Amino acid sequence: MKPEKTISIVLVGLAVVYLAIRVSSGEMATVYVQPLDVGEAPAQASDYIAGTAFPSPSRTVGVWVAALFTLFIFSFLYRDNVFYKFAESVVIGVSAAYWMVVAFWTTIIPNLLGKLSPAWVRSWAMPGLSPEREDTWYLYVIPLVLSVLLLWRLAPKGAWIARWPLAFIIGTTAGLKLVGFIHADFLGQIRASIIPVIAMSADSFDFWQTAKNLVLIASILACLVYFFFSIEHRGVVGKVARSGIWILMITFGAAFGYTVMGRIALLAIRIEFLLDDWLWLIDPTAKRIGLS
Amino acid sequence: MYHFLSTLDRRWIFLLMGAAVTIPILLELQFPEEATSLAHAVFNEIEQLEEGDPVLLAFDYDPASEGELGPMATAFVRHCCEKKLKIYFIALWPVGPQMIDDSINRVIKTDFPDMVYGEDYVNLGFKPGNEGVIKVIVTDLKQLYSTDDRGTDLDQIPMCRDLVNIQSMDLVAEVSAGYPGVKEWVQYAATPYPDQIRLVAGCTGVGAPLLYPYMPEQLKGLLGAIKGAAEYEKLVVDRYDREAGREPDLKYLEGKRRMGPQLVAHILMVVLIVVGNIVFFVGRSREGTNS
Amino acid sequence: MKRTVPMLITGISGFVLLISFFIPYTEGWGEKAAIWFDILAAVAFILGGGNLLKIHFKKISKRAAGWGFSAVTVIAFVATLTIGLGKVGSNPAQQQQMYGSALAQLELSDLPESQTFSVEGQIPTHANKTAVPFIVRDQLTQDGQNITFRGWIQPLQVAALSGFQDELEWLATVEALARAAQPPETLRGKIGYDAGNSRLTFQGRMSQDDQADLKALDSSNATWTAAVESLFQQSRRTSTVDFSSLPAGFKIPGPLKDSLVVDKSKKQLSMTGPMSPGQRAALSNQFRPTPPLPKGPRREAFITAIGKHGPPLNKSQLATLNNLLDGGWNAQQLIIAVSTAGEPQEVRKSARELLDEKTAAEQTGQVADLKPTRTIGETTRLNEAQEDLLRAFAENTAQPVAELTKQLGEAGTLSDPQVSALTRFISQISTTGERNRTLCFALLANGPLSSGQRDFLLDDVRTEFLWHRTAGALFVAAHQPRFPWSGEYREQGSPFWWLYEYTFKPLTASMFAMLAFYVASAAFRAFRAKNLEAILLLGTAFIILLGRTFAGATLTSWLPDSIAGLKIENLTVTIMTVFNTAGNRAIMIGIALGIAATSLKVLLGVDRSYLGSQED
Repeated sequence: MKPEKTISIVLVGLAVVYLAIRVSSGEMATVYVQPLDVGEAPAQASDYIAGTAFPSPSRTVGVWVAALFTLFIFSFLYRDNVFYKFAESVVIGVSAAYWMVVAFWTTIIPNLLGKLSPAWVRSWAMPGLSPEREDTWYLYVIPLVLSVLLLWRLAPKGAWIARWPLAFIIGTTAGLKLVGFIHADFLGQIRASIIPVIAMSADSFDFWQTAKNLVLIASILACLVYFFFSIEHRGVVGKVARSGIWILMITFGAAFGYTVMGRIALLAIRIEFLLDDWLWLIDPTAKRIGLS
Repeated sequence: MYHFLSTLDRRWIFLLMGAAVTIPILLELQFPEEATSLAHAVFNEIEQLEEGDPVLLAFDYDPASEGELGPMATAFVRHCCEKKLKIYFIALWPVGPQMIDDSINRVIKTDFPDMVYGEDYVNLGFKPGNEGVIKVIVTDLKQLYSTDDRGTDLDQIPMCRDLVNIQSMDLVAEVSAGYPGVKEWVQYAATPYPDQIRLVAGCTGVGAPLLYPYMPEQLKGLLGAIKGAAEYEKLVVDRYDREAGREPDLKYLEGKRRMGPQLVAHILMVVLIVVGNIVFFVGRSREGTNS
Repeated sequence: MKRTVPMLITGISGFVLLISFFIPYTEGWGEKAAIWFDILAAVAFILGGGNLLKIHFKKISKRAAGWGFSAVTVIAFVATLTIGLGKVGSNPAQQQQMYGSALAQLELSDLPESQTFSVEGQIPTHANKTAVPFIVRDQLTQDGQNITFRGWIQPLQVAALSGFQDELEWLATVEALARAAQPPETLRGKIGYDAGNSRLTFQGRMSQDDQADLKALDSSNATWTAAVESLFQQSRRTSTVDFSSLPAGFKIPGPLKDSLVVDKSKKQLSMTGPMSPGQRAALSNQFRPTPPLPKGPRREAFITAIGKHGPPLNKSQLATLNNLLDGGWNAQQLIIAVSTAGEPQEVRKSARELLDEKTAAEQTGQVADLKPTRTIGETTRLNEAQEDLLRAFAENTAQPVAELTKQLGEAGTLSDPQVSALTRFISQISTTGERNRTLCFALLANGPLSSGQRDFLLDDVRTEFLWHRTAGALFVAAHQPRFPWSGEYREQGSPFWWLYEYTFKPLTASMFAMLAFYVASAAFRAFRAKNLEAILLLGTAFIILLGRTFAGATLTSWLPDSIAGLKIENLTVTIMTVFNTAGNRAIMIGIALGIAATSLKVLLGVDRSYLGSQED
């Protein structure tokens, strides 16, 4: 057998033995719930000791499932394998269905069907809805028709009709974005760049703020010159464009630094989940005082 | 050594990174935090509000970014509760309402049980449409939101009865992980209505540098990544726990806790870049001498 | 044709949104377009799901490579969809359950004619022709000089009518109508009619007399009689739960006298009719508030009792215990709270009173000073006897509050605000179980406790909890759930929530977390400082990476204050607010121009790529 295979079997075997020991000692991955009149509420280990909460089998199994899925995904770092592919397939299926359900219950029912016939929606799905129709409720037939046309895309014949609602979506997006970007990103940014070149603070000349402002304005102009490709970057223009590139490099370096920070935080919380909620090796929020 | 490093299997680097994050978490390493000017700006925006002022909290993130943004969200909710503001929760991401529920359960129901749903805080829920939602709610909220997240008619909820649009909010605090997020709120809420809508935000590390240009005109303050969260947490905890002479609840120190592995991992990154460059230059000089 | 119509739709919808920004009159059109966009965005989610199914089914049927994983995807998709759309395992919405009431369907026309009430007045007309609020529209009519209301008015309807117009005359008319449109005296507070849902409601248990009275209102209408009989049957329904032990000194609470039966031999509680939340609370609150434990022999006895079950408490545990018990309530606080509440009250005047004042003032030619509230009561303080009674209560908190209030009233003056303050204070005192539980965990945080000691401290709360559960179980058993599909689709504990919390959330979070590893690998293998630009990029990255953590702060803390700007955390701020802002601003301006160009190309029909290929 290849050494790689031996090592992986040994490692997995050790892990299974370790987990078996932990599980049998009962000190791992248990989730407690407090029963309410209707439903249940999450509870701490202290509630369990106090007798007001009980271990929840479904949630405990859930923690195991979550931990195993996390490890399946991380196994991709070693090599693409069947566990990772399995986890990937599950997430594709669940997330697609999840967003469908969310869209249905948060928009289709209240904002489309609820506007067209609120009394009917109220009778079975949303008893808190007002049964009064809006004045212009009949206009909602248009998005209803467009929705049906959009779903026609899945039909074997006549899928071209889905272009109409798609065109509406594209047109609306284009209209929204055009105004939004010009206002906030173009005019707004130009306006924000018009800052005092001689900065005063409490009636005295503020050297550092002035220097910062001048550097800021010069940097913005240099970068914009770099982006202006309609004239050749030679001579003075070339030198200014070059300094523009340097400013952009600093920008990208900062972006990289922040990105790294973000990615590591994501990893840290996953590891925290494995060590805290699953293996009960650490207890940073003192959730399990008194269990030992 | 050079040969070993230049042909290093990247999986060893994965292992190093995994260890750099796992070991500080196991050892519960933590370091002190100092707040910078941006965190102060966010803190002051909320601190200067009066009791009963309405504030809109938009949670536009998902569990994937909960690591960075969860502590910020918790700190925002706590600060608003301590100031006794009227909190309106809203979400532009489908799983945003789950994040809102988490915050309500963790902070409001545990530490502020006197707050009454419908009078002190309300959860308006999620609507799809991204920036389209923002565009509608700045002029007429009830066009899109006829009920709250639980299905109760908004006209039956005391704090929503007179709510016309979000221009009546004294502050909009937004926690976002990407699109739709801070940028859209700036573009469609803060920029068209600069006098009516004040915006502060928290965002992931990836998005933070892109939002600096919006300050200070369109965006009054920004909390960037877990560091921003830790700094803001520190300000809230100092003001409401340390000044009162009691130890803060551990759930309000999550950001600080997560900075521990950050530091070790950052140092690892710097070391990796330096070592990688050394290997590169040594290799180049060897090629130079060989040729 | 196939391409012209979509192009026109794009152009028109885009331009509507554009002009709605500039022309205030058309703002409504822009909003409408945005709302329709939201709806189509939601439908796009459905389209995405459908498309996913289509692709994977094709793969499975063709037995293409990896079709097994497609099968997994399809199964996960279908399971999540069914559970989510069906709201499987989700409890119905609690606000609209109407606990404690029996319901029967009844149309407004079947309500007895005799239950129509009139008051003098005119329904106001608004300049913008707003009709009366929807909630009263079916029941309210103008009949000459009188306003007629069919049925019994509900508080929400009164509120809606009061909000209809601000004038005092109208408000006084609404008050008169609210007083008039009530059921007969014997049935008041029990029978109600909800016109919006066409439902007749009855609170609590219906006696034979009640049933007879109701039937007598209209004996000729069979539908009415049938509805009353249905309510009678529902309110007679018995539900039973078992209990393990009754609280010490248990007596059936006042609100449940007629409906609750305790069978001590079989250890069962039986409830006739539905249980209201008030009744449930009364059943639950069987545990007296805990008496205070001031420093002294009583506290010493308590500490000794804890010591009997295990090792003695250590110093910090004793300190915690004393702190906690000192922070508890005492008789003096109760006395002060009740005594100081004895102030005159501001009570809102009714609209009728205000109107009379206004008319009276006008008759004498003066302008009325219409204060909305009037003061009633005077400043009262507790006397010695009453204070003694309260001190006695602190010794024996088992005394019911009603009895205490009666004794206090007999011993001296007791104003209404003082009664409310007393009830409020007592309701906020924790029970012995709750206090001991807080104590137990506070002690555990400072030192060990043996299991015997833990049981000693926690037994009370366990008993209390079990009793609360029993009361809750009876409350739920006595209720017939309505609107099964009204609950939250992602309610905590439901299968859909489980799928989200334990599959969707960890999977997506883990996928994102993998990026940390790749960023480390990229740092080692790809980031080379080959030229000035690369050096700038890497240098900035170093400063940011170190500056945003404690390490950076320590590295440059030795720098003197005069060049504090070079300290790494300040350097970071400068880099971000000057250079990063400059670079990003330029990028944003460029992107904005690009978006403007692309949007205009799409809207004007120059760019037609979104329409797809030329085929079909």
